[in-house]
Amino acid sequence: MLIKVISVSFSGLTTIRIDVEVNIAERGLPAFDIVGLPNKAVAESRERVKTALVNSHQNFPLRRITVNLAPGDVPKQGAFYDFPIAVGILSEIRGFNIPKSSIFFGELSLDGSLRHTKGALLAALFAKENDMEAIFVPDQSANEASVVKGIDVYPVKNLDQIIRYFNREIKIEPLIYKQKVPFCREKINFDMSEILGQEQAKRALEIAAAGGHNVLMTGSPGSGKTMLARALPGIMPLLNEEESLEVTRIYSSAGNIPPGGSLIITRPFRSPHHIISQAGLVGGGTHPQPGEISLAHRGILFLDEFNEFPRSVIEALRQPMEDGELTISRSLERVTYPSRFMLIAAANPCPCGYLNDETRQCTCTKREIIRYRKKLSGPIMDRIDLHVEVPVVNIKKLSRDFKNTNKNETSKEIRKRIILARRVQKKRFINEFIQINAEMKNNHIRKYVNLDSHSQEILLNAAKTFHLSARSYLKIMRISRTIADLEQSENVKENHVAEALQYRPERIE
Amino acid sequence: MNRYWQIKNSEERIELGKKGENIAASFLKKNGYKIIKRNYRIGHSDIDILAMDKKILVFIEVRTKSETARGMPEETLTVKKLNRMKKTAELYIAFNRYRGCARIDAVCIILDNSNTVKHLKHYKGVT
Repeated sequence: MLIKVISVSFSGLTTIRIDVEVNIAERGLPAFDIVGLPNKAVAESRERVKTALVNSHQNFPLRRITVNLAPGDVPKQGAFYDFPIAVGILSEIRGFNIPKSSIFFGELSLDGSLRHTKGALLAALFAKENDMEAIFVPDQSANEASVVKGIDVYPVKNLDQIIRYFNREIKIEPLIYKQKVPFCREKINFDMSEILGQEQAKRALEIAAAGGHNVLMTGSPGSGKTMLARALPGIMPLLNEEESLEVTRIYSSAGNIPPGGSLIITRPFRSPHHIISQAGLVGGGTHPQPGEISLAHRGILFLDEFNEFPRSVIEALRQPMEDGELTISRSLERVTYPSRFMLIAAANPCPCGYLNDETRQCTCTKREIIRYRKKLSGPIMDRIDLHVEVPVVNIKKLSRDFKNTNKNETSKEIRKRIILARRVQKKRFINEFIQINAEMKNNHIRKYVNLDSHSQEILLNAAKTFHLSARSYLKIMRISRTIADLEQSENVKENHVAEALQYRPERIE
Repeated sequence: MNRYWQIKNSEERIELGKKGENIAASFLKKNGYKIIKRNYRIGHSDIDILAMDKKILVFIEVRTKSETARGMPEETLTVKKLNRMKKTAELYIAFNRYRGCARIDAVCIILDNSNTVKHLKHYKGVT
């Protein structure tokens, strides 16, 4: 008899339907074969299913079992076909009916229990899009899948439970999504109020957080670049519903959601070390996996010691920074991951680190400095909206102010302003497919950044003297829009443009 | 070949095997198996016992060891032997145009010097 169980297969963030066909033949020698381009993990599910069934006190049928994963030309990977295969075999030997239009998804443990499996959210979303009624997932992944409304998410602990459920001995209650404490809260190490001085850098980070712009901080060692970046998550607003789903999808497909985890509502903060490979940063592999830039989607990608990153790795950022997504093409697969991240980079101004330092002498030659800076190419520097210098903190002032940090603004206060500025942006872009100023395309800029004649003049003059590229010119318009939003100002005025112009990179003669 | 085979002379070995097969056959009969053929030869290999377990055709390989020998009879069922058993069974099915369920079993026996059974195990579906 032939039994059909519906399951799914993933390719990046897209999901396709897989029909798991289980046939138990009444002739020939006993065998258990899986066909339909399974990879090693799928083929090994034979042993897991067999042992799990025996350990759930079921007689494994000594007959010819053939499992087909249709369509047969799509390579299957992952261990989550265990559950549909086991359900197919069980339905044959125990003679119960499998509910129509339900998806089964999960990896089996040898003792018959279901393990947390990556991609539960994607499977649930697929079920919803295709008008399925229910999805059966492992207990520990159910929280993740239950985010999707409109379908029944059945949490299954083990095979024994599902057998009794199909025999109508017990009931499994569909799980209803409950907002829980976010698991992904990056520990906020510093509060903005703890950082003394550095007003300009703080202001730049505030603008960046409000409009989603990129920042490069340059300064001597120990001046507080890393500290500023680490304090940044504290002033970022939480993800809104739409963003949260986007981020959770990426994390779900990469298997970065812990057992029992659910929607991610805090902004991701990724700070990879500079020994990272290109595939690690932008994603890659035979079956392309998301890289750090995609894991930092809608959040912060902090690259400390920006100059130390291999040049090829940094250059790979160019296109995703501009487009907000990256398509990784391999001969087997073509996958697109979103990568709308905020780049926060920190670097020293020269190899010794003390250029422009008031207290110490820089020992680098001009040649060395030029070579050091050349590591960051023009196109990359051009794509960074805000360039800010982080000067050395005066030790005398530091020791005086160290005890009373109260007079500084706390992260909470700054965050309030940022939330307001983001609200303005959301209202403005309600009919566009963008959310923040950094995403504005040319037509949006034309529509929403209205400069009066005076500020237009300032900008044109600046473009001439600074030799601004067309891209930089538009970037300044975007930043001025964000500065205006922070002040809740309807129009972009000349002081906004003037401030935006301050954050251009200094040029070395 | 291990030393066991070298020491025992072949007549003794065949005799031990025969005894084991007889014990296995009576054990299977007691368990409701209908024995069809014994020592059925196809090509180079033979099937120790051919029986019907209700509607399933069962190919049974009997492995016997004397208590004085070291090791368990189960150990002698190597992958190579199992593959050959599978091939033999498939040949039988093809030659006789058998349509229906089939299975390969093994019965492992240890006998002591007075021919009493020290160990008997029936493994269903070994391939």
